[in-house]
Amino acid sequence: MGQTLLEREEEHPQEIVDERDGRAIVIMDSARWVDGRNTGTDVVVPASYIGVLPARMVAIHRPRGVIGHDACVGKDGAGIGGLWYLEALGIPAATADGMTAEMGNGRDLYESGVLSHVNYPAERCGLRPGMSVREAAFLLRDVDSSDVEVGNKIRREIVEEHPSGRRIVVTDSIVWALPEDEKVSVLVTAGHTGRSGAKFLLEADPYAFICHDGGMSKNRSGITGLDTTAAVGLPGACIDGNTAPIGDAFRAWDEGRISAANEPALALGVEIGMSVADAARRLLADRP
Amino acid sequence: MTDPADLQTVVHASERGRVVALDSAYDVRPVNRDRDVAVNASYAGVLPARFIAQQRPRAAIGVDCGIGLDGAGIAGLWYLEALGIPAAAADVATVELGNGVAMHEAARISRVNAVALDLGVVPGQSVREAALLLLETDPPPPAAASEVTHRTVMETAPSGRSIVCTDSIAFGLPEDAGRNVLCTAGHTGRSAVPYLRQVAPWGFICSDGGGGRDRSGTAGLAIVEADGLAGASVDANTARMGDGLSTYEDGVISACNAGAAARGVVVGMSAREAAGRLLGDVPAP
Repeated sequence: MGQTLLEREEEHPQEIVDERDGRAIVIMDSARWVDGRNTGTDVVVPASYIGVLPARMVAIHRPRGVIGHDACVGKDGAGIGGLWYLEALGIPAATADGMTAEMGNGRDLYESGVLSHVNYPAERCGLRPGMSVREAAFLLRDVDSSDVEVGNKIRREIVEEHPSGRRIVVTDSIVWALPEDEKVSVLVTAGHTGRSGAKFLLEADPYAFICHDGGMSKNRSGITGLDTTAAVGLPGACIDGNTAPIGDAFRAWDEGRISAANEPALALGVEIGMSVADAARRLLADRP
Repeated sequence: MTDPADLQTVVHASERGRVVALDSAYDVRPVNRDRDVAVNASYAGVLPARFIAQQRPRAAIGVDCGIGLDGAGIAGLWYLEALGIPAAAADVATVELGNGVAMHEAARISRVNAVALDLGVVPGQSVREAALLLLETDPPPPAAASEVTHRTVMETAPSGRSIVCTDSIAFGLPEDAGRNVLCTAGHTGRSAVPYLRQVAPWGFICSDGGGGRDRSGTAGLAIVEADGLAGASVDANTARMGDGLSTYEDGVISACNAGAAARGVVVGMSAREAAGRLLGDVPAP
């Protein structure tokens, strides 16, 4: 068998659009053109989808940061799967919304693209969905991602407080509940509500909770924790897996909808189809 | 056999290590490092993958949770792949979430990363069988990015022309020129054009890249028409980008150029059928 086209290709057209302190922002039409010139120093902006395949080709050259195209995400999230590959290697990466930039056009991606998805190292550098690709590229060039180790990435934020001192806490997993959440916090988390999740919920004993429905699953096992918690009077509801990705409580807070709730939560006014934020507020309110 | 201290049930043991069933990915422990296969009834997302990676078990099998929005139910497979850890996800419809032992007994694999695929783990396999393969087989040395092509000949016609799946048009070979129908899985935008021209296959099917602004994900179709190339694109919501086999097996055609239309390809057709039609002769004018 002969050499593949990739192996035979010698030209890697790149264009430097900005440079400072030896660090460049480099635009190109394809991720295949990232090479040894970019190692360690450059933020590369290729107008490729950031699937696992392009991520493998980019990762071996270890650029400083990567911003690509999400190809409208697509089946199995294959348009953005490379973000998680790069995250594991400590490389900050993001994608632009597929409808804001042309595929295969690096300059258009740089000039018109708006971010849709970011990995955790990129988030640490200050990148957020909705930011322009240009602004994001400057941040990746100028900010050091301090966290490049494999390990836990704990996100936790108090998003609303009640005059009583109770509050709504958004954190990606129930395992990050703190002792001070007991009987005080409405926890909005994003793991599933199956039997292993229920065990953590009973231990955490929050004022109320919202977890993910885990795509419901066989025998509706993704939400069995609703019954377990109802038995001890703990109100809780589940996030519809088709409205917010499992594992991301912050997107659930912003975009998620409720797919199921237990009796104590229904009694407090939580309804199926309601936004996660509205449901959390009803769970936070004073109880009769 | 459950040790209440570590919440692990050993479901198989050999000289190489153990298959342990866990209700949650959080129950992976340092004792599993480089030795055990962790079958866990958590979703196979990035968040659990971070916990798993910290302990570096020999391999991990989680649950796909219906894959869900943004592919978040299986995104951890790609995180673990980057670290060289073989990983797979089980079809949620075969699994009780949160019950590791039941998952080991009854569930079936739906998605795998490239490291697990190298060890023989494939969709449709039982979790039990997959876990044994992961325990008893040594991974080959990591492949260079350009070697992971998944090149597969699907069908060869009496004419000598073949339908060939490969993950990217950049993996085209000299022997594909004027002879093979390539089913690849990058987009068909302008950056694909130089590759299509250089490979110059008998026919091609790529991804539409989700459309993109101004239909830029299929802009290459019309451009290469002038070079006499016949090609089509599959809807990225029907086939996984970066997976040429998925283009052929799952894809539905969303766009095609005049050369492909002349051989009978139409929008809405399965990629499998379209590839078959592209394999045929060019009709007389």
